[in-house]
Amino acid sequence: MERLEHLTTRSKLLLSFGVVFLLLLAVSWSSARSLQQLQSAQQRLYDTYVAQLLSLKNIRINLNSNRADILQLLMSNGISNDEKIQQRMYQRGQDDESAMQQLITNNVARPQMLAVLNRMVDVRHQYQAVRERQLQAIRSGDSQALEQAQTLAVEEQAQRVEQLRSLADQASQLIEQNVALLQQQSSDTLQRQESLLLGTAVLAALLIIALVIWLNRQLALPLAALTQWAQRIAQGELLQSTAVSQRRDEVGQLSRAFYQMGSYLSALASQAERIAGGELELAAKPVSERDLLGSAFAGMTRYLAALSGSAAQIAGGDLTVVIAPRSERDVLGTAFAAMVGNLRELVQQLRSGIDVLADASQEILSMTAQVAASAQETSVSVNEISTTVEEVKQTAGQASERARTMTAAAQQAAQVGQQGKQAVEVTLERMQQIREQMQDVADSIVQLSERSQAIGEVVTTVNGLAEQSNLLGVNASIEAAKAGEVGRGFSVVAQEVKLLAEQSKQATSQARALLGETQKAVNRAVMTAEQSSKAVDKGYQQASLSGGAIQQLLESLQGSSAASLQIAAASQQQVQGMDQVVIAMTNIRKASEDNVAGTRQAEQAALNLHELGRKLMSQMASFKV
Amino acid sequence: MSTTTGEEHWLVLRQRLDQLSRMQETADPDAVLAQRARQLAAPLQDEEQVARVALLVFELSGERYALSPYRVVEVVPLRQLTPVPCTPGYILGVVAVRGRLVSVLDLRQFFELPLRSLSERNSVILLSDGRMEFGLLCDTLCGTQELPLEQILPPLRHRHDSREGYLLGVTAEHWAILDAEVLLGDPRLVVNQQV
Repeated sequence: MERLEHLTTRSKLLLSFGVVFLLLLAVSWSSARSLQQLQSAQQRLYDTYVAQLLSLKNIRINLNSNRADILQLLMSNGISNDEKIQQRMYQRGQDDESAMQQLITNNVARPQMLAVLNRMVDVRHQYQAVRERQLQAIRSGDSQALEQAQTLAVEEQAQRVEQLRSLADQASQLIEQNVALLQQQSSDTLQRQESLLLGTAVLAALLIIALVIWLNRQLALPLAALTQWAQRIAQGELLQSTAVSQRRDEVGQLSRAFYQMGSYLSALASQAERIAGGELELAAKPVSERDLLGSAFAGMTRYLAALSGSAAQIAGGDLTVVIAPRSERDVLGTAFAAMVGNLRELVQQLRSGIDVLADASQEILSMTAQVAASAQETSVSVNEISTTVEEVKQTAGQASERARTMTAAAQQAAQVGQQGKQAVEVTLERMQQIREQMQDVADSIVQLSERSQAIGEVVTTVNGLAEQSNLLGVNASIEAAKAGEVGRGFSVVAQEVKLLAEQSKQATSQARALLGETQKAVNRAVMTAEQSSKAVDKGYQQASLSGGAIQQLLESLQGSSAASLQIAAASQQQVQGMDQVVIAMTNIRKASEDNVAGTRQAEQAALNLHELGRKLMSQMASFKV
Repeated sequence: MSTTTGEEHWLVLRQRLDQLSRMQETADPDAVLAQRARQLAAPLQDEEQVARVALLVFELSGERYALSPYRVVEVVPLRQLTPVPCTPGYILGVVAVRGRLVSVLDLRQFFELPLRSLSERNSVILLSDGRMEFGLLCDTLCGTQELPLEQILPPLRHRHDSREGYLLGVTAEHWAILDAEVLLGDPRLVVNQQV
C-alpha cells in the first residue's frame, strides 16, 4: 500500500480507471458469449425440430392429397383415367419416402421416435401396396375390380390413413416434447448468464466504491485540508503546520510548497511585526529576483528607514532635510514633507517670537531698572516736597502780607492810568487835524499837475505850428527857386522862416522835457503826501489802540486791586491747605516706599523672563532651518 | 525829520518859489520876437556871382536826395494816407491835397532800398508836369539849397544800380540828384492793374 501511496496522482487515476475498464471488459465478454450460446441453441432448435415438424406436416398433406386423388379416381369409375394425376401421386409418394428417410436418419439417437417412424414406414408401405392394386383396377377398367377397389378404399385404406395420421401426431408430440426440453435448457442458460452478469456488476460496483474511497482518502481529503489551510492563509492566519506529509506525490509536494509558503509568509509577517514594532535595522532580503513581496518589503523597509533617518535628523534639530515624496499618492512622504515645512515655519516663527521676547524682556528689564531708580528718586523727592511744603506754608503767610501792600499800590496805579487816558485823547484830536491838512496838500499838488498838463497841450500846439511853419518855409523857398533870380531875396526870407520854425520846434521839445520832469516831481509829491496821510492814519490808529490799552490797563488795575485782596484771603486758606498737604505727603511717602519694594520684585521677574528668553534662544539655535 | 531841519526846508522852498515867480514876470515874448525880426532884416552879404542851381533836399533811409524844384508843386505833411488795393508795393496809397486825390510813391521800395518805419515827420513832395501828378514820400525835408553848378558831378556808374536812369548827378556831399522829368514820364508808375 505504501508504494501505491507514493504513486503520482496521474498514475493513481490511470490505475483506478484501468481496473474499472477491465471489469467492464470482462462483463461485456461474458455477456457476448452467453448471447452467442443462446443464438446457437435457437439455430439448433430450428434446424432439428421445426424442420422435422414441417416434414411431418408435408407428409400428412401429401397423404391427404393422395387419398383425395385416389378417391377422385375411384369415384370417376375409371372414366377419367388420368395419367397426370397418377404421375402426381407417384411424385408425392417419392417425396414422402425421402422425407421419411431423412427423419429416420435424424432420429437415430432417439429410439422412441425411431419406433414410431418405423411403424409409419410399415403402414405406409401397406397403404402403397393396396393403392397399387386399386390403380391397376382402375387401369383395367373392370367394374368389379373397381368396385372391389372402392371397397378397399373405404374400409382398409381409410383405416391405414387414420393410423398414419395418429402416428404422425405421435411423432409431432415427441418432437414438441424435445422442443420443450430444449427451451428449458435455453432458459436455464439465460438464467445462469443473468446471475453471472449481476455478480460481475456487483463486484465492479464494490471495486469502484473501494477505489473512490481510496482516491478520496488519497487525494480529496489532503487537498481539502490544504484548501482550508490556503483559505486560512488568505484570511491572514499563518499557522505553522506541524504535520507535513512526506509523500512524494503531488499532494505531498503541494503540502510542502504550502508549508514553505506559510513559513515564508510567517517570516515576512514576523518581519513586518518587527517593522511595526519600529525595528528597521533588519534589512529584508528578497528570496529571489521574482520575489515581488520580498522586494516590496525591502523597498518599504528602505523607504521607512530613509524617512526615519530624516526624522532622526529633524529630531536632532536639522530642519534643512529635504523630503521629496515618491509620488503624488505618497501620503506619508507628503505628510512628512508638510510636517517638515510646518516645523520649519514654526521654528522660524518661534525664533522670531523668541527674538521679540528677548528684546522685550531686555527692554522690560531696563525699564524696571529705570522704574526702580525712579521710585527711589520719587521717594527722595517726596521727602524734599514735604520740607518744601513746610516752607511754602511759611511763604503763604508772607504772601498774605504782600497782597495787602499790593492793593494800595494798585489803587495808585489806577489814578495814573486815568491821566494817561486823557493824554491819549488829546493826541488823537491833533492827529485828526494833521490828516485833514495832508489831504489839502495832496489836492493842491494834483491841481498843479493838471495845470502842467494844460501847459503840455499848449506846447504841443506850438510844436504843430512850428512844423507847419517849417513846411511853409520850404514851400516858399521852392516858389522862390522857381522864380529864379527874382525870387532870390524871398528865398532868403523863406530860409529864415524855416530856421525860425526849427528853433521853435527845439524850444517846444525842451519845454516838453521840462514839463515831463515837472509831472514826475508832482507825481512823487502826490505819492509822498499819500504816504504821509497813511502814516498819520496809522499813528491815529496806534494812538486809539494805546487809548484802549490804557483803558484796559486801568480796568485791570482796578481788578488786580480786588484780586490782591482776594489773594490775601486765599493765602490764609493756603496755609491751612498746606497742613493738609503735609499729611497727604506722608501717605504718599509710604506708598512710594511700597512702590520701591514692588518694583524690586518686578525687576526680579523681568530678570527671570530675560533669562528664559536667552535659554529659549540658545535652544532655538540648535535648530537648523 | 526834526523840527529844526523841517523849518529850514520850508524856508528854502519858499525862497525858490519867490524866485520863480519873479522870472515869470520878466520873460516878455514881444521882446524876443522883435529881436528875431531884427536879425532877419539884416541884408545878405558877399554873394559870389557864380552859376548856381537850386535843389530841394530831403532824406530817405539815411541818404540824402535832391530834386530840381521846377517840377515840385508843393510840400505837404502826410495825413490820412489811404492804401489802395491791387497796386504795386511802391504805391503806398492816395492822399487828399486841396481837393485832389494824389497817389504817394515810396521811393525806398521803388529803388529797393532798406525800409524804415514811418515817422511823425513824414512829408510828401508833390511833383507834376501838367500831365502826370504824384507825391514822393520823404523821411525828413531839409529845405532848398543853392549849389554851384561845378560841384555837381555825373552819376557814378554802378552795376545793378536800381536808380540808374533816374539820376541826374551827384553833389560833392554825395547827394543823389533825381530827375523829376524821368520820374514823371516813367511808364512803370502808370498803374492799371485789373483784378
